[in-house]
Amino acid sequence: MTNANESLRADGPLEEGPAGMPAWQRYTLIVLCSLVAIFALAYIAGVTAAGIEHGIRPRTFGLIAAGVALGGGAAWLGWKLYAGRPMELVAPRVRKSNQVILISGAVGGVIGLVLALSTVSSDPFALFTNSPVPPAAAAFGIFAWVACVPLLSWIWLRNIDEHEAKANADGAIAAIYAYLLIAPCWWLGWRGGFLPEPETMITFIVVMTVYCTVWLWRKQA
Amino acid sequence: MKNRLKVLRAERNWSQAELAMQLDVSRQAVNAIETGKHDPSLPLAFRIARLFNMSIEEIFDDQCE
Repeated sequence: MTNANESLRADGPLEEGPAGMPAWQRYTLIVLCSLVAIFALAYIAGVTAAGIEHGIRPRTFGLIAAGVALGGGAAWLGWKLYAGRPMELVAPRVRKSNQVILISGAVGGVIGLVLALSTVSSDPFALFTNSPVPPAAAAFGIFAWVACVPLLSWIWLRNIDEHEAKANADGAIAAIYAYLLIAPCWWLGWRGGFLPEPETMITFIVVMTVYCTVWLWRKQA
Repeated sequence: MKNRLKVLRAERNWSQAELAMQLDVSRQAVNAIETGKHDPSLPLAFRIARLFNMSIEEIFDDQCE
């Protein structure tokens, strides 16, 4: 019975391994590092464009070096976190669904990279604004999104287990209600003159944040 | 729904990950079933019962909350 008790102790609900950090914490940090790396690339592209437009000064090199240090540091940390994850026995279908999530992240990263590098603007934050992007980059982003999201979602949904399917459904329900509340209220508030014009991407980000929060919470519960 | 999954797993000295591997589900799913936060579907309940060579009623108890 001693072995049985040891086995029970080894499995906490959020514990990934004997000395490892919880999986949700590790993967959240990896996503954050990726976002910072993409942001740094956009920042470098913006500073370079501003330098070309207004003349390169010693300060420009300093700003670019800071961007390279930030992006490189974030990419390095993200890779260390990914490579250092504890190896755990994983069922084939779970491994496949995890791989689909990683591929989805990579597709998002590539779209972000293409938009960041093709947005010639002196504003380092241009990637996160409504500023114009070249038609080819916009077309690439639309094509990649339309081609990959349904296909990857279909593969993912076919491979998740019933507990994850339930967590996904709970997240989706919470997200649709968030949209149901936010979209009409913001639109009416704007028409009433006391709210700014509705922003599609802000609504999208809020709805997706609600979905991801509920999905991850229900998955780990 | 209460169940004996945690005890049965411990008797065999299996970790949640090892049991999850054999059931082809995630470790989180095994944890949720053990803690009563997720009631397995009938096909998964049958897979669990076959794995432990028991009947579903011997593992899951729907009488007490």
